[in-house]
Order: sequence, then structure tokens, then C-alpha cells
Amino acid sequence: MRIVVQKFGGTSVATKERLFIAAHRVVRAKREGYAPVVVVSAPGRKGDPYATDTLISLAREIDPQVPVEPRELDLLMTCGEIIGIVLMAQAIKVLSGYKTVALTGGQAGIYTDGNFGNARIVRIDPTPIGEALRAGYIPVVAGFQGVTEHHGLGGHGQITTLGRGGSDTTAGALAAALQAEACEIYTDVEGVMTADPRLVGSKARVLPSVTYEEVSEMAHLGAKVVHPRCVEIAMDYRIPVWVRKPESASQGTVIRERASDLPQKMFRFTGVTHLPYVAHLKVHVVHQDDLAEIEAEIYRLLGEAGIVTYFVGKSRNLFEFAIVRDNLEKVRSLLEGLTIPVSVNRHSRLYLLSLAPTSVAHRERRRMLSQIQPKLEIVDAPVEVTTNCAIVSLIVLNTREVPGIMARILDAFVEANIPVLQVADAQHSVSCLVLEEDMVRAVNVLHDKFELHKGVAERLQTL
Amino acid sequence: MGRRSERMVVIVEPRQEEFERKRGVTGIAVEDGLVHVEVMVAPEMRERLKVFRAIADSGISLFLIKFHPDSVHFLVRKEALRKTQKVLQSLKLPTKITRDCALISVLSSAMRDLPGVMARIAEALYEQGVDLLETGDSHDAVMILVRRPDVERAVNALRQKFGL
Repeated sequence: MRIVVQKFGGTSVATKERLFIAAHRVVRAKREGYAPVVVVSAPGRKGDPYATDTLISLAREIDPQVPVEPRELDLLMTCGEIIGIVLMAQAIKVLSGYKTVALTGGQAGIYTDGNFGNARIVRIDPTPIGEALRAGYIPVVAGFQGVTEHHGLGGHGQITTLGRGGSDTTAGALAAALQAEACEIYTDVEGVMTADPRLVGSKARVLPSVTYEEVSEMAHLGAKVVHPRCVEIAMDYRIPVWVRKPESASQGTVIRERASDLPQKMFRFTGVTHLPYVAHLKVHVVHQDDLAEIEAEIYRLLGEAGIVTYFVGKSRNLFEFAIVRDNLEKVRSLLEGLTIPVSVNRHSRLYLLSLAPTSVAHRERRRMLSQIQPKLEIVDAPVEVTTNCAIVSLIVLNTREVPGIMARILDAFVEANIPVLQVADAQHSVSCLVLEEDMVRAVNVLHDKFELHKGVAERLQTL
Repeated sequence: MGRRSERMVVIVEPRQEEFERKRGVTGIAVEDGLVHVEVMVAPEMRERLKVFRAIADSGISLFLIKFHPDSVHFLVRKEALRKTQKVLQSLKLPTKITRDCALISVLSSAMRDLPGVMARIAEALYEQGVDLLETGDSHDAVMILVRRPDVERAVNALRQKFGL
């Protein structure tokens, strides 16, 4: 049996017209001799009646002060996808007369751990879908959900959700468990593109073929076309993933190679991604010897508060990190007025952090501390914050094999007069922290500099 | 996790025992034979560009690049050190070279979903008195640069801290 898993996002099932376009794709696959397994998201986008955020708000609005239990939230959140599968199953049946069966994640054999809101798939039982296929049905499975199989508090068969990008994860996981020929992700763009067309316009190109690693890097660094967890599963189980638009005749993008499968020392400039809404913080520490202890303490506090740091770095008298801007107020409240005692090499100092070191409040705090701790040296540790930043990344297959990337990036930015606050290089990317007001220009400048409008095959080079 | 680098030795291999990869820190890899280079250069982008352009013209690959207020830092492989020094001498900029460094990568498939990893790394190394020369991060790793003689202590401390 030639199984293909076809996943349709929320916009593909949002209206009757879109639903039939999607259903047509399924019917076509069936007529071509495949056994399609369909995965569906909740209908609509953010704000629509059955979208996940709308469902959550229904419960939260009862009393915003009383948190909804994660277990109950998961039950609620899975409703959108259940509506989606019933609509899709009906549309396929009406369009073609084929038999369809709508299945929740649990009914489809998807078992997860009990981490409500962000569950991980531990096992997939292929039996229910296999039986449906053998009986001639087209299974239509609700994305983003599974059930637990552990006993105890919360018990057996609790409904869970898979977290962000959950429907993509469902599709990749089912494709792997069913040993499908391919996993097709239908979305509202033509495929994986060199950059967001909303930023670079018609210069953006669809990438006909990319490695799992490149697309994973792109997804992690801001491209929203396919969720990295789906890519990760597909890579681990060697499932080709296609990304395309339901109504488009173009083939879209195929992801089926691993970077390690390519001949050694191959590289290419793949695309440019962007991540807005970032804040950058630098903590200045006068005495170099004290830096490690202060750094460890601040990272401990941030970790305990659930705050993830990016662009971590240090030099003689400072350490720095970036955070998602939504977390800035939380970080501000953690660090403002924080005192850290440090004892290094028989020195005892009390560091006083402040995001506003010239403020009256800081001076007053300092004065009071000097009175309480007269024997201790009070040292200011000013925290410099740049609120409006963005991360612009050049995705490069095998970055470290290629000399001169940083020079070319800086060359482009100097020419365009775009300041770079910090850089970070990884195995398949070089990221630059820029001011948010420069983000769109920065994406365009890199797209032009690395000639990403040219075909991807032309850009695959050997050292 | 895929190949990370030809020169990188995976000390603790991420294992896949269940359907999806485990979350959290799953592996540690080490790459040695690295040299940490600090070049004192003004913060102006044009000045920094001169450094990177000269190095690029010599065909030297750089990584773990960091900008600092009065300097830029990066790593080169030890085979490229002589060539790098020659280029930097021609620029007449003060430099500081730390030979015999190793880059330890703490691996996870979703580092961005894991708050507190940096804290635990910093804590583990601080407790062992291991000097952390430079840090970096990506979606699947936190990289820390240490002196080669500290590698064993650092790796052991990290293994203990993350239960690997």
C-alpha cells in the first residue's frame, strides 16, 4: 500500500470553498493509487470561532484571575481539530463518494506522555489507521492531539495536545509510523521560500529541494512554513516532506536529504529569516574576577523564571543575552534592584543591579545598602537594555566550511548603514541582532547580497 | 542529531528510545584543536569589516564570532593560526591569542524550549572552577569554550549536572 500523509492547515478548512480545494487534493491522491491519510488543523486563523486561541479564551473569560487546569485546557483545545476532521471527512465523501472516517488523535493510535499543553509522542499504534485503510476508508485524523496511556492521577486515555506546530508534528509522526511514501504539508504559501515574500516581495523564490537541517534551521529562526518538530521526526525516520499550496500546480518544496548525505564540503546560501520582538541586555561588571559568579546567578534566576536566552556571550567586563520581548517586564522585575554578594580571592562585594542606574530609586537603594552593609563594598552593575531588536539570519548549508561569510554580511550591512549589535553562528546559519527598525532592510540586503533570487541548484557550491 | 562536524567528538550520544526525541539535554560533544582570537578594534562597523575582509581574503574559516565593545572574538582551527596571525599583523591591531582551546557543545533538539540550561552549565563549571572563555548558542546546542586541560573536568561536571 502506497501511503501518503496529507496535512491541511487551518486556512485550508476555514471555508467551504477552501475545504473542497483541500478535499480535491486528497481525492486526486486516491485516484493516483495512493492510500491517503489526512491530518487536519482547527478551521480558521487566530481570532476565528474555532481557532485554538478563541477556544482558550472561552474558558479564561469565566474568570481571568483563576487559571484553567492544563488538562481541561487540552480538552477544550482539541475541539477545533475535531470540528475540522468532521468537515473534511464530509467534504471528501461529498466530492468523491469515497468512504471516510474521522478519527481523534487517540482513536488514531497516537499515545503521548502526560505533559498537558506540550505533550511528546511516545508511541503510535498503526493498527486503527491500517485497518481503516485496508477496509477502503480514507482516515481523517485530528492534528495536534493524542492520549496518554499511563495509569495513575490523570489516568489512562487523557486527551493531550502536542504544543506549537502540533498538526505538523502529527503529520510527520503518522508518516513515520505508517512508513508512508511521503508527508505532504499543505499551507498558504507555494513552498519553503528564500525569504518571507511580505518582506522581499517578488524576489522571494520557492526552494525546490532543501535538506532537513536547512529547513529546521529556517523554522527555528523564524520561517513559519513547517514546524521543526515535524522536520525532526521526518529526518529521524527518513520520510520525504513536501510543502506546497493546495490549489497550486507547482510542485512546491521537497525535503528529503540530510546534510550529511551530500558530498563533503558542499555548501549553499539557502535563505534569510527574521524574528522580530527581541530585547538585548548587557550586564556590566567592573571586576572581571566576579563575572562568573554574577553570570551564574543571573542565568539561574532567568532559568527558574522560565526565560530562554539567545545570543549568550561574555567578554572581560560584561555578559549579554537576548530574550523574547514579551519577557522583558519579567526580566526587568527580576533584575532591577537585585543584589548579588560575591566573594572571590578574599574580596567581598555586593553587586547592585539596575536597569536605570542614574535613577533616584537606584541611588536611594544604594544609599540604604551602604548603611545596612557598611563593611561591604557596594558595586553598581548597570544593565543596558536595547528594547527593539530583531534577529536576521542567513541560512547556509555547512556554514563552517565557508570562509568569508561574516565579511560579506558586514559588507552588505555597512553599505546599507545597518548597525549589527551582535552575531551568532551555528552549523547552518549566521544570525545578526539588528534594530527592529532595520529588520526589513536587513533581510532585503542579505537576500540581494547572497543572490538568493537565483535558483537554489545554482547556489550549491563546493569548496 | 546528525553530523555536527568532522572534527567534533561526540562524548555522550543522544539516544532515541521512544518515538519522538527526548526533550532536555541529550548529549555532549567536544571539538579541540581550536584557537581563541581577540582582536582589539573600534566598535565602528567599517573598522570591523576590515578585519573580517582581510581574514576572508586569506581563506580562513572563523566560527563562534562575537562582537564586544572594544574587540571582536572568534575561533580558528590551529592549522590556520599562523596564517591568521600574519593577517592580523598586517592590520596592526592588538590581538590576544589563547591556544589549545576546546569547544564543548551541550546538545538538545530544542534548546529554545529549555529555560535554565545556560544557568546549569554556568553553575556546573563555576562549581568546578572551570574558566568559561566564550559562550554561544543555537537552537540545538549551547557552546562553551574552555582551555583544553579543563575539558575532562568540564565534561564530567556537565554529565553530572544533566544526568548523562
